[in-house]
Amino acid sequence: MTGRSLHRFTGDEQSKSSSFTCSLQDAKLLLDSFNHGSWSEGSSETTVKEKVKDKFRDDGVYFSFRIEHIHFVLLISRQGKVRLTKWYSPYSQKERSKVIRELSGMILTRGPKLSNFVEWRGFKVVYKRYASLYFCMCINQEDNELEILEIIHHFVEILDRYFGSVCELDLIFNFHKAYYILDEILIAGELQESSKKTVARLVSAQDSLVEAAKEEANSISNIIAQATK
Amino acid sequence: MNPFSSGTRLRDMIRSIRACKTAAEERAVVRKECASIRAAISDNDQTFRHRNLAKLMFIHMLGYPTHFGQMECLKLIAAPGFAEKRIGYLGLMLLLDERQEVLMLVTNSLKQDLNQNNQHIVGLALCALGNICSADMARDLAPEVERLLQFRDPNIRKKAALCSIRIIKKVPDLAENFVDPVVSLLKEKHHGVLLTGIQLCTDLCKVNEEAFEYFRKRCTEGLVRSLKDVVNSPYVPEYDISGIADPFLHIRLLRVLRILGHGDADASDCMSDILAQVATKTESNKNAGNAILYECVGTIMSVEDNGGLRVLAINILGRFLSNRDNNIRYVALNMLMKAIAVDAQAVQRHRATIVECVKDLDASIRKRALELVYLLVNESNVKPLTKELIDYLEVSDHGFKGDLTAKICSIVEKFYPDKIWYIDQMLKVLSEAGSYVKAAVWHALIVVITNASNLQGYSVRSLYRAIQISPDQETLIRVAVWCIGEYGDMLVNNIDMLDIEEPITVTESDAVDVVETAIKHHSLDLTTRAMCLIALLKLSSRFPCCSQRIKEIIAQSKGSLLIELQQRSVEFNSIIEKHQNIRSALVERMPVLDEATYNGKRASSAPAAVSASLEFASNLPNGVIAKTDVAPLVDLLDLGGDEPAPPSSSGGNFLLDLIDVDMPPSSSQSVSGTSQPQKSGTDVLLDLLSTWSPPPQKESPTTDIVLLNQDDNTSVNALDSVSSSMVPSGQAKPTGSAMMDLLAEFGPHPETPEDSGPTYPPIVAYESSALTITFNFSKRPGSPQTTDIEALFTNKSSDVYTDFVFQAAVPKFLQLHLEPASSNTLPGSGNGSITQKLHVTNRQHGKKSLVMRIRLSYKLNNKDILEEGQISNFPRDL
Repeated sequence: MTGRSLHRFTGDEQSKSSSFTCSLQDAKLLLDSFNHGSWSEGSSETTVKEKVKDKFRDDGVYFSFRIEHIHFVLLISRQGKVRLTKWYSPYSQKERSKVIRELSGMILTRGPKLSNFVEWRGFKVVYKRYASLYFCMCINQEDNELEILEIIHHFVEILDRYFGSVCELDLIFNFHKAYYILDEILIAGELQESSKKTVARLVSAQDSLVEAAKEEANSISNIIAQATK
Repeated sequence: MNPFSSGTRLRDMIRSIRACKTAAEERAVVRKECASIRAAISDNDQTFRHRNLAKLMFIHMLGYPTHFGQMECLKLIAAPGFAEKRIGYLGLMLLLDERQEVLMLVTNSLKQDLNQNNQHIVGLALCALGNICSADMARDLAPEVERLLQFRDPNIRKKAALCSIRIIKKVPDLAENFVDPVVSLLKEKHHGVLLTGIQLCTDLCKVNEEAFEYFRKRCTEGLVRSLKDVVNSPYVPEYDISGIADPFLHIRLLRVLRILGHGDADASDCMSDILAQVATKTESNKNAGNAILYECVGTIMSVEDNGGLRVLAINILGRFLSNRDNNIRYVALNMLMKAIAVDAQAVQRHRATIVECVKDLDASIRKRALELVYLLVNESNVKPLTKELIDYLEVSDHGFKGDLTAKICSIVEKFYPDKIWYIDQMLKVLSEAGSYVKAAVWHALIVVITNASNLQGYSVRSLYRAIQISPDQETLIRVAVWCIGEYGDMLVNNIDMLDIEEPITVTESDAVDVVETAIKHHSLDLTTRAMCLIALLKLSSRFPCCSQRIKEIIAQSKGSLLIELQQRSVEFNSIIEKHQNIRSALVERMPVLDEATYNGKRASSAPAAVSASLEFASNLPNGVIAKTDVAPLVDLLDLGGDEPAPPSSSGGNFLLDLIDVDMPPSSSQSVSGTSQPQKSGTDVLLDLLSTWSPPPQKESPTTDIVLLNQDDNTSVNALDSVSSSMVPSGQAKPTGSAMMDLLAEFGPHPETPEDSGPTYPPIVAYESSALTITFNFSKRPGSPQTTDIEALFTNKSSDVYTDFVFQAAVPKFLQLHLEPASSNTLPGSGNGSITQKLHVTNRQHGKKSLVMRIRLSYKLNNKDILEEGQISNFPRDL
């Protein structure tokens, strides 16, 4: 029985690379998330968890320690203005603006006929342009890029349905609505609903709750206003 | 509470920001808004709290700091109404991330909201928890989430399922609790719940083996049935995407089957029918269908072998590869890389198409294709593939040339069928993209040329031709100049003509011209010029008729601002002028450089301290070499006396390097012997020579260094150490002597005979009042990146330490492997010790040295004690 460290563990996987292995970046995220994950110990007991790791490491195939499926979602206008950002993996404020800068530099300059995938820092960024807006999602190397394109389209169709042929201005002035819709489609970087109808129904149900509350507030303030006259 | 203080509406603010023409204007508007929001916050204004937060979010998106609004989110979340909560949670997710302490404050509100009756509020809380929860929150709120997996409304169940994914990723220990709820989620018909349930199942399989085995046994069939149902389901407008019912569900089902089927023949059997159906029946004219096919291929590759399915999968990839859509080609290349491991032959069939993809306009595709080609190369196809790649090198754009060059060089070095081909290809690469060629690669080329005695003439003539065509490639010039220096006579006299060669007539002065042009070329660096000087010195002896001209060229560097060139010029000049008698011996052709040694050295990627094999040392024609070596030594001593200035430190180095280069251990005695009479030389030399004498006569400054080398032969190691201790600045070798280093690199390093690599002194890695840790190092032959460390723990106190555990952590460029300790009890007062072996692999060997954090825990009189420390005093080059 040998002691192990997560470094080694993830590193080995990569070197085997027989198929879907995890990337170093995953390992980094992993380490970020496990405070003490990196201690290695020469203990002679084997816990179940260690066994799992052993097994998966030896197979070295699909086991990937990713934190999220989709790491972040970005909407960037053709001028490089940010219209929506959603971070499912932890990025500090500084990192966020760096990421946005890097990616807009890469994506906005790409020609129209090229593929929709950009490799970036060991991740993949899947982007698609709708009119003046670029929808970008960052995923791991081994994820299904074509599916992400479908998810982007799914999101756009729901936005379209909600705003009635959506345009960039809708998303600027109603950015919070766009976030609400996104939150009904993705949680923790995973898809939660494949039915556009359901999403639309849920968002409008919540909208009407807000409207009702507003009206109530207005009527109360009217009453107060009238009373204090 | 002044309603007028809260300023404009959100819409108005966005408008005024958009109306700004300059960044300064925008900043001014934002500053004003932020000021009024801050004022509202300090007034504790409730009426416009949600509007202010919405404004802050917009400002945040523009990239301005908004940390002052974080508490507002919490206040809104704590408010009773849905409207406030909704914006509050949105702000929470946008303005905060899991690493902020403030987040802890929200745990309680989240808990309350998760227990609310209003499903929308529960939904908000779940969404926020799923997106930003930290490990602590996950632990606190897991029971609530678990309960919500059975909530009456399916929309909450699906949110809870995704939230659980986040929780088990943050705290894998909680995984067991979610196994049973997942089994029931998988039976659901609601697509959203099924979709998220499958994802949760997938992630549980990844973090918990028991769960994985359980699902494999209990759920495989059910999932296969679900896949069948969705594949065969009739048209449902709600889920339909381009004629396929819920492709997202398809993909997630395929993904979970990939995991369940991997390494399990029964499970794989169970799903093979439906996989075949998906692979054959799915429409491939729309993206959604292709996404499913792509996922299906991945699943087929991963589940246990089924020949028919694999063929099907490879065929799909073949179709993808010929697709006009770039996206499809990209994923095909991606998947083919994985398919190589399964069926390399089948992938080879698509070689031509893949090579075309290397030339694609799209950088992403090029990169994938190049990597794939690299994997595809073998002995039988290396020639055509390399030709394709080199042809493409001419037209590829700059950003891609680096990658491409590195790959070509690596392919050529790995698979070359014969040396002449190797030399030809390398020359092509050097002439095309010389600046992208790594130093190790052209060093290797020189090693190969020196070893191929029948090709030296051919090489030097080819290089001569190449340099006429591409006079600006510095690396090409270096190799050419080196070869002309060594084999100039072969160039001029057309020695060793091969049949395929066209004869060329090169006069002696043509050859000198080349070197002269190079040394005068404005853009070349010090190393190249230094190499030129050496080549000239060599040519002066090879071409006596040009000697005078060469002397003049060398003399031109006497005034060089670069001290290294100046010194060489002076020294070489004096060799040509005053030492005609020994010159020819001095500048004899370099001895053949041992390929095995060099390759071993490259693998270690450390320029200094590399092992050389004994066979090689004994292969050397000892007599001759000894003679030629002694000569320069004598000569330099003379030189030291002649020149008014005392030799600089680099002069010492020069000498060292010369010895370093060509001195087999057997001749060391003769060196010191010959040199003894020359004691009029400088102190530096004396010092140097003293290291050659047998250990007992060691002088004090060098003693401890040599003592470390307990082998009988005074190894080069010691010499290296001495050289570093001699240079006052503490630098081992001034950069100026790069050329000499270069020679040293090629030279056979007479060293420890048993190829055991360099030895390192033990260090006291850690010392506290209670104990000491000592590290002993050893290197395994052939793997210089790996260091074996034997840690020795000794107890300084008189008490016994029990349950002694040593832990270590290393940064990412290192890999650490610990073996079990010899014992977990450390007896007191030096009555024994614990040893434990560590194996460290340094992936940045030569660039970074080792570093390690350690933690010791043990029990002293039944009291737990923890000690921590960092070790950074490892020897360099480990």
